[in-house]
Amino acid sequence: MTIGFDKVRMEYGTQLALDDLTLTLASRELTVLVGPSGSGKSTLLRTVNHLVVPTSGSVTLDGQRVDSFRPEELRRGIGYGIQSVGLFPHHTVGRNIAAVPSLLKWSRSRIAARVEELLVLVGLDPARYRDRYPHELSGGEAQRVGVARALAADPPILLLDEPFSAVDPVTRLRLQGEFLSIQKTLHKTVVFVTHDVDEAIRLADKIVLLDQGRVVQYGTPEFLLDHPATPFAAKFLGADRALKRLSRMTVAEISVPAPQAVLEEVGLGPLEGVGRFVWIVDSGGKLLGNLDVSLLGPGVDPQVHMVPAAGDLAVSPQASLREALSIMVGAGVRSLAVTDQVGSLTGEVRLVDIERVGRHLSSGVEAAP
Amino acid sequence: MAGKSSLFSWASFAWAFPAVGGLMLLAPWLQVKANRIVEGTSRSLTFDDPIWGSVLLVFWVLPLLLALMGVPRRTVVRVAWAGFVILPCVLVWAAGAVAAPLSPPGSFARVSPSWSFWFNLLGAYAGSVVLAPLTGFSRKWLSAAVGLFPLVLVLGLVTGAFSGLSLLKEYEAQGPVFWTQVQTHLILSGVAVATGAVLGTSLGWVAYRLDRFREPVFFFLNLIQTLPSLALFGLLIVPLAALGLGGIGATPALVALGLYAAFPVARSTLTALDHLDQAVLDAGRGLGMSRGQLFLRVQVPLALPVVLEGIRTASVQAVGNTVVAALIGAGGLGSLIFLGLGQYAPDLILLGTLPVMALALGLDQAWALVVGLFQRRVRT
Repeated sequence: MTIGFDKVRMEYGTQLALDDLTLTLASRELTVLVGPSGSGKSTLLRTVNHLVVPTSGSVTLDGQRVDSFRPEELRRGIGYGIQSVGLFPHHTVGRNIAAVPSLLKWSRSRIAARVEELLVLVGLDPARYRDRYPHELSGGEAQRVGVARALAADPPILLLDEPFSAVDPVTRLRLQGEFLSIQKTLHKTVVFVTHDVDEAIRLADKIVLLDQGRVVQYGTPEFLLDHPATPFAAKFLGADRALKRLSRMTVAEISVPAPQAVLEEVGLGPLEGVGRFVWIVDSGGKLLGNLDVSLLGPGVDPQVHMVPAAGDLAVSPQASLREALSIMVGAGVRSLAVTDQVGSLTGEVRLVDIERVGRHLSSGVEAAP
Repeated sequence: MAGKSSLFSWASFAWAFPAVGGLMLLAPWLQVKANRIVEGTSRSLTFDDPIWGSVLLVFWVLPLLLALMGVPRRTVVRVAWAGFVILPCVLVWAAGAVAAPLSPPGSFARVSPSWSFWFNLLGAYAGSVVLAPLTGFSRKWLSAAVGLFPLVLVLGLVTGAFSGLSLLKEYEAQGPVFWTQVQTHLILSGVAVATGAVLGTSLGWVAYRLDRFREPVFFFLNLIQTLPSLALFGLLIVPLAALGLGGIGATPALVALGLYAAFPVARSTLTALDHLDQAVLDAGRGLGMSRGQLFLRVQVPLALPVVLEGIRTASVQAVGNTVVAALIGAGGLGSLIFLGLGQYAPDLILLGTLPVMALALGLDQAWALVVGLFQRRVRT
């Protein structure tokens, strides 16, 4: 569902929260509204389900003005999740999730089935959690229930106002990852508010950068990081934009075939077509370590010189380039092995390639893999 | 456990008990009069009723003896606490037993508790309250123990074990009037609380929803609280008479008592609503609850325990306030009290006062149970 904002203006007394804001959010995309506090991002979000009624201008869903619906009907068709979760403390987890379905008068059996399905979806065991009360949940569990409640009636639109900000960083990362994979299968039109740039970059299909009730910039995270439109945007996105940009790319995108040799064959003859360093694998292709070829000589046991089990010098294909770069800098190496889940060598990622990508990014040219 | 140091650290406390208890045994505990009017004679537990006196002395002295013998402190505290719970029961039973032959049925003789009696009762009550948390007994046990004294009272009243006491003589003299007054008292305070609950919750809600009514509503209710109840009754006579409702009797009493009861209810209603978690309300609205659904499904259940707490306060107050209503002819236990005051008959005053106290305490406990029931469902 496309969400359109047309000259939306919101005044609280003399305070201007939204300044004739015009914007169209694409259907089935995850749009993150990001900006400093007071930028109007929460207010903008709340105009969509009519919790905030703009002073002037219109908000439309697929061209239909939101104020043409009965507010309750409108809201039951839009998922809503907030920072402090706002679970009903006197209702069990199951009843909390069932809030909208029960307002829509679904049958009992249908509600029960849906609650079960959603608890599984957000990674909570239904048997253990259905009958608990909110005060018996950890912060992360409560946030999951909050997301499940927002998804309950399978709404096409999801409004999430800092849904993961009240938990510790580790839990937040996990919740973000889980939410991304849920979104990958459900493809809702999601409007997500955060003040955390990293969260925005991690989750967004599109980012809307807001300041003082105006759109500073709208576009993909890549585009914003490459071409911040104003000094404010550049400052808000941070001096480490290039690194953030790398966090949007995976190792798989730029990995190259790795120079490798099977341990048993090393020393039997000259190593053809490799540079100074070579990755050593066993006969099954499993990474064992790496080797400085120049140290080899007649009668030298390669195992003596091999740097073994380079687990700390290996990354998965799904790792971000930012992580890969961080490992390289930390270990002082120029390339990392890329290994799959079982530890087989599938390629390598080189510092020169990351640098090349970075240069291309900052010059505004999309990097070729 | 109970080393010498721990004995000394609470020794002053422990020594005080037998000292006070022993002194009290010397003082008069019963007053005996040939009839209601004449000057009476005193009975002492030491000289006139030494058997009961020594029984009561045990309760005061035993804990100290145990402490001196080096019994663990926890055990001493438990024995002392149990003693204070049992002492009142023994005390009233003793008074009844002593009074029975002194004032057989039909006799005009009056046997009434004197100040050693009250002192023992108060001391035991204070002691049991202070020691209860130190015993380490569960709440269930402690509240069961609180029920023992009322149980003994009821038992004594039913079996006639107390009928020699002047209070019961007075009760017999009043006859059915006593129960009529109890009934009137209950109806008056019940209706007043019901009125106050409806009025209070409504006013609290109005003050919550409409900010500009907040000040006036509570100004009005506060004003009424500051008026002595008797003055309020007086002030109501003229307007109510003008309305044709009668300036004296039950109507003005109910109006005034209802207004008094409304205050704590309105206060607690507003507090409860003000303290509702804004995020929960926002979530409710955002999920598509209508105003009515939000009210019934979220606001009412979450505010209820605090509102009930206000009604509890109002009930206890109403039982007390209703006493004054007797002055404008509304009846109730107050009429016994004022009659007693007029005739200088302390027993008659007591006959009115004790049921009021019992009602207030009983209501308080009953409401505590109800509130607890709802709180368990709403814990946050």
